[in-house]
Amino acid sequence: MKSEPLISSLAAPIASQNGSQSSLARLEANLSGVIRGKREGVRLLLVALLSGGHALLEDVPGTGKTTLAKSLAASIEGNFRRIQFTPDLLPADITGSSFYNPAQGEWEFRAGPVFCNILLADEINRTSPRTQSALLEVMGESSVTIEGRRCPLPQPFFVIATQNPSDFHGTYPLPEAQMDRFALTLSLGYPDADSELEVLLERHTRDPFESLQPMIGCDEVLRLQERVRGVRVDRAIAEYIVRLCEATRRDTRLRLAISTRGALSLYRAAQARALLENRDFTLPDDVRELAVATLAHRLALDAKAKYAGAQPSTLIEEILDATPMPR
Amino acid sequence: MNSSLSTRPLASWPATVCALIAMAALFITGGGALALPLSALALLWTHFSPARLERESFTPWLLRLVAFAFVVFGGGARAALGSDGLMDARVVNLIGSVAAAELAIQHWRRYDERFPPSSVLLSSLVFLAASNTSDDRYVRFVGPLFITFLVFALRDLQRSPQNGEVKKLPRQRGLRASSTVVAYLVCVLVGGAAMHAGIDRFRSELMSLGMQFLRDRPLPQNAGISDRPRLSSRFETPDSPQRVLRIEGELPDSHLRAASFDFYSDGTWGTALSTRRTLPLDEKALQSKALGQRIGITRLTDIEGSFLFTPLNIAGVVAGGGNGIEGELENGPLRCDELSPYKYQVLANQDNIAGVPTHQGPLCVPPDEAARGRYLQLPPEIDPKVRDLARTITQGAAHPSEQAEQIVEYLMTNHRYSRVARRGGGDPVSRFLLEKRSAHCEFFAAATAVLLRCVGVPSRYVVGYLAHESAGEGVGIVRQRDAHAWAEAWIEGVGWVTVDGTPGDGRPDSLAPVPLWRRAWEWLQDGLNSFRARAVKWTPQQWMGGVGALVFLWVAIRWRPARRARHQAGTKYFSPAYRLEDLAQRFEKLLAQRGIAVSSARSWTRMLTDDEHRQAQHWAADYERVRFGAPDDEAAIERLEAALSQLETARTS
Repeated sequence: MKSEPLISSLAAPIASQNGSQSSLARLEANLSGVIRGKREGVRLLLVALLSGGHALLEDVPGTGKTTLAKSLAASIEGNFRRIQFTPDLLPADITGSSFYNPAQGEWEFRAGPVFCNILLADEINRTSPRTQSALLEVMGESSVTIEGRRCPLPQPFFVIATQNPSDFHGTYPLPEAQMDRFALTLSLGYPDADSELEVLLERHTRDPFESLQPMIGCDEVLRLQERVRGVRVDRAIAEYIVRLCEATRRDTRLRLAISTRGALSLYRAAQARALLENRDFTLPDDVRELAVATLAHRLALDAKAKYAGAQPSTLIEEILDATPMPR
Repeated sequence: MNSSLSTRPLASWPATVCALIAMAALFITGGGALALPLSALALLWTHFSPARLERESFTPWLLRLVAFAFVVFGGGARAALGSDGLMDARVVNLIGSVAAAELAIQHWRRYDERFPPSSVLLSSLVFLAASNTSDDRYVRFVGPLFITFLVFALRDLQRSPQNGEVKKLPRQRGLRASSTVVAYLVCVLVGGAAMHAGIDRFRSELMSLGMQFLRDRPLPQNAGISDRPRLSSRFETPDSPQRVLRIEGELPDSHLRAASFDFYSDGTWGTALSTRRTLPLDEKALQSKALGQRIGITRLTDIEGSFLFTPLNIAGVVAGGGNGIEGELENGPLRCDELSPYKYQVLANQDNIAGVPTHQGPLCVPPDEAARGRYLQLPPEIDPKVRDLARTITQGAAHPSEQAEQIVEYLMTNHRYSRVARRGGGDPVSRFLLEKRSAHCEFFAAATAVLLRCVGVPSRYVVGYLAHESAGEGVGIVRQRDAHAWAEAWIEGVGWVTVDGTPGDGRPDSLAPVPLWRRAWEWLQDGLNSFRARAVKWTPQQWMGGVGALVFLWVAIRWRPARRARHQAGTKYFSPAYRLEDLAQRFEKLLAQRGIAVSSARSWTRMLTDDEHRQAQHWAADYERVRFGAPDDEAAIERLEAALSQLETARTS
């Protein structure tokens, strides 16, 4: 039995621009060099970035969230800001505010930390709903309106929000309706033993973060986002996405089902993943493998199902198993 | 249309064998024709040759099937049921040839999931045609063999992927397989022999069952016309609003007679209807020279005795086709043994004297001496006081007509109508008249006749219906509850006339109107009955035409929405190019043959992970590239097809 592909002429990808292929690969390699053993998480993050959405990390402290965000910012030559959310944080602390400068005799606008490329919003569930909604609005609008003046945010603008999943005391967990605004959720978790050992050994002498070189520029990121929108999606795959969403709407165990925004997120995420794998067309597998990450946080189980121990991710798996994939 | 022919997996061999056996049976029993062996050769060629027809669309297939059905049933049916009820040999050959050609075409087509191998079904049809001949000793031998292969062919049919979940059927080898085949054969032989014997034994019963279903004749209703009317305490007639007659036209006389009775004795009128002669009456007998307006009367339900109801003074009766009218003219009854609805006509004549119809048509037979005697006969049990009463009533009347008038007036004013009468002892009419009892129309009619006979007017007792209900313009309805009795008198110088002595409130006018739902139901029944009467007369061609039109309509109505529904339900294979669909189906069949379980919710590349399926995995990856990346790339599709054929032929290696 031959082990090589049957049709050698079809072995090479049908379309590829070597430029973007290598830049994405380099970006990925860069990030993987800093965060060891979390290839899938890194890829998901890049998918979120390329699809023009935002990511929510649900993780215990110390797993490398800040490092990841800083590395990403460094890799794309972008600005990095971090907001540590506390219960007494005000919306103005995020967006910025006007203040009166007596020296010049007029109102001056001081930009808040949100004016950056990569924003790490730490422990978003620790702040009041007012502040949360300020950030979410900013994420949705990509601009800040202060006293009637609209200030656009720098592009690309990517928010990595974090939540501590086990900390419930004194928190304001994001309601599902607002979780909808995140393109996907991911969880890094603790690395495996080998990777952890590597990390310790590597940091013995140097800080890999310091030696991080920028791989691509911000404008390249914008171009990649544009290319993502141009990735071919067969009609059957779009119908597959719609069928999945319809299945969630029909399921009686769900209080809240997937919205059109969710379907669109999944669509873009599939396109982004296709680009990441150096294809200019999506496959049904892209949809299937991103379904849990993109959709699980948008669902709300009803009380009976929740107390029966069901999880949104298992529900999505069930629906995936029950929906025929296009061929 | 793309003209390239491409390969496909070989047709299921049990199906092909079935088809061959069927055609052979036909050839043997049909007496041989050139078309059949040629079709058999064509079938074998389509099985072994790799060349294939392009996929056909649904419409030519359906049209061909309809044409085929026409040939089978239309052309064949006439000659089919020959004198001994068996199929003509030529017809059988024709059927076999057409079926064989159809089988060959079916095998030659590309496999299409939407249309299960109709060749299997068609070969069954051919076989049935073959078995419907007198030479069934061949069929008895070949039958079990056919059924065995049919079973295998149907099992193959079941194996084709329906919902993506392919049942992994194990391959049986060696002794186990042979014993299965043997077991099948034995069961089929035994079962087949039993069935054959059963059909032989019960052939006549089955035939009569079939005929009964076709010519469904409901139970004839009791028309309320008794064989020998007996004056009884209750008016024994069904009180039902069931329709009996429909009358189109203006009847000059609303009394519709069935039969008259002339002999009275012991409260009973004779002679019994069952003893009367039933001679066929020809047209001449039933029509006088006089002209008359045609009035249509339709008998709506089958009634016992199949009577016809006509007024007395009509100019003629015209039968409505089918069997002719038979019976007796003088006293009736007239009969016509046809299924309802049966329409006949009466010719009405307007001759009348003071509103009383007097035309002497074929039903008004002048009585001769013997008849006169019968019509004047009075039994001895009639009280002599009745004679005196009669004379008193008709005092001062000069003419028999006046006498009749006075009798009627007397009865109407001095007696009341009641549905219940006390019969009492002795002669009921005498009791009724002398004790001024109230009674129902039978009594009134009998009394009229008796009183007339007392004063020397020949008269007779008549039973029938009274038409009073109108159902629209010029249309009247007669129901079972309108049954009535009255008298007829022979008036010198005039002839037979109707004399009805029942008071007004005893006539059916006073009954409750028919509710709306009943009217609607009757309208529906009318439609169905007339359709059935027409349908029984249809030729087989017309039947086939009707059935074919219905099937076509049904398919046309269901096809489009069904297709759309299938699309919306998310068909597994939705591809802009059907060639890719084909490839996908072939690949899944290949996986099934190799025993790989495939789920419809996972992609192939994820399922084919182990090393021994490397080639299949490569092909699946290539397919995905073409399907989702460049489905219009014809060259790539060609390469995929070639690769798949390589894979398929490599399965045995």
